[in-house]
Amino acid sequence: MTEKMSRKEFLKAAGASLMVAPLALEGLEKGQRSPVQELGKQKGVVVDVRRCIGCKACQVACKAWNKLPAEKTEITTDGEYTNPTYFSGITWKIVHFKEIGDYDNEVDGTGGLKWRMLSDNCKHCIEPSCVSVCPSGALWKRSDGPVLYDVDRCIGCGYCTMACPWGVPHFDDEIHAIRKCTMCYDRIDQGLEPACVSVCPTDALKFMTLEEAKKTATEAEASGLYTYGLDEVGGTSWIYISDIPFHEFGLPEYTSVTQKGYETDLLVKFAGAGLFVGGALLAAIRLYVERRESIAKEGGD
Amino acid sequence: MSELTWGYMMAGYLFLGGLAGGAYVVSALADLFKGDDYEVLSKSGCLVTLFSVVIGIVLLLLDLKRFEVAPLVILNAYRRFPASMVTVGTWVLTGLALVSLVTCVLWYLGGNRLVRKIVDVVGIVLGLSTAAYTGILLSYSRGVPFWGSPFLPWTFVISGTLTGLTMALLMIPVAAIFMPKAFQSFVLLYERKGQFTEMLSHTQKYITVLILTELVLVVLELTTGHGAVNLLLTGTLSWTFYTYLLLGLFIPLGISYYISTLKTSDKDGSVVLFSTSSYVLILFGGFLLRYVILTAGQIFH
Repeated sequence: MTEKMSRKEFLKAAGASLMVAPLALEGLEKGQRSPVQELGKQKGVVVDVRRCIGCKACQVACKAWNKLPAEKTEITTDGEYTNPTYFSGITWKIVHFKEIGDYDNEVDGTGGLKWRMLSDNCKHCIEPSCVSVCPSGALWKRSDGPVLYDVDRCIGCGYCTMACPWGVPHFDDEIHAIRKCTMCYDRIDQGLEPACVSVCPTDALKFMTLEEAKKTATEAEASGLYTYGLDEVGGTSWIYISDIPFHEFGLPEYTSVTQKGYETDLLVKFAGAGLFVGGALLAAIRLYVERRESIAKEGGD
Repeated sequence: MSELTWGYMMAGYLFLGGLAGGAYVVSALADLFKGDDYEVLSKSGCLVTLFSVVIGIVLLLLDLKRFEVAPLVILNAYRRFPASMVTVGTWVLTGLALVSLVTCVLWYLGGNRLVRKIVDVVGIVLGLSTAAYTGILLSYSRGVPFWGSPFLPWTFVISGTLTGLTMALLMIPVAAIFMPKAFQSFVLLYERKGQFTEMLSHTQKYITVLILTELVLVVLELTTGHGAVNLLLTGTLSWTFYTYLLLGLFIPLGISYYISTLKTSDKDGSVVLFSTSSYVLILFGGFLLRYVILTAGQIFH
């Protein structure tokens, strides 16, 4: 809910609205929003869960580069080491911790217990749901991969938060705008890797072209490993490789249907459901009327 | 997710949107098929639509987290049609607001009946679209599988029609106080009390059909087998859900049955009393329905 504003703040906001007006009405669309220099091929990142040691350096680097304040979190009692457990306007990177097996059952000579960690953030979908639903055009996909946002155009409706398959974008009350991982486009523009990738000590995160990332993941899949992001929601720029299934980390399963395809599918299903329910309703009314008529007739006889 | 992005305010807009669309559908159908007998219902219905749409849009804009830029940015949404479901909704809602305004003016001026009937037909399409839109908007949120049920928009259409009808009936005496001239026929109907109670008890038939259809749709929703269903049946939202079923559907259904068993001589006072109570319960239930669906989906986001 909106907090009360002072008069000064209101005047400031009103002034800001007038400045945004030409922007909103002229409508800066995709092409016009590219930076000055030429954008290269689509970028991608491969996250290899097997190599992750759970040091959280990526989480810290993300906070440092993007100047994000700390999140107030709580210690949970359910054995969850993931902290924070959800994305927010100031938390763009989460490291999922997963303990597998138990001490009583020996697995692979590792003493029964095995750790797997997954460094998670906005996956920069090839066809992003958040961009598709945004009513004001505040979110867009840059041609070299990052899904970015225009803070001035965001109206704070929350539709992107709901539409994102992983609930990534969030409105931040402090900054008073939508915030999420930007794939460090400001570093990419300078020829650098995203902050989280650059600090990973084990190369669990690797920055490359999307083409190379897909190739790496396809090869991993062929060798019997699990992948995530190769097909999910039509493919993502961040692709994950693991030796345990991804639902273990709480990642939902998605088909390869893109957001647009998903929307079209739904419209077809609505039409089908409408015909089904409408037909059943008409049939029920007809039966009822016929029965009443026959009762009336019997009564008349 | 730390907290609900869409809370009870959002439930309120979905409720008002459905109610606005439904009230117009009822108003137009009454005008097309019942003519003079239901004139007061037609007039009240289009007033309810106009007020609900305007109140809904104003509250929605104020509730947006960046309401200071929203009105101007939303102007851009008209141009972006049909990029996002919200831009579609922006047009549909604007259309419904205009059509209901035109209808109210036509009633006031008492102009050509044929023109009004043409406007009625356009309005029925817009009214159904508005009610369905409130459901489709949710369905496009890919991150919330519970809202992806093909029956959701139809549930909102039926519930919208039901709440629209009851609100239009409930507002007839209120409108008559403020616009005694336009609602002269109501005063006449009321003076000949038998005819007024006849209208109230006759519309109970439609209310029964709508309640039963909504019940079937809600049961079909529950068969989706998603985790959120358990939340409604046995989880934290079960009390709210059962309150909706009891107050919003079963008690009004009982009242409808009771009214149908009344003899003509007993009708007058009790029909007005029981119908009014049933309308209030149905409206409350309509809001609860949206609230539980919104909340259950988000908890499983």
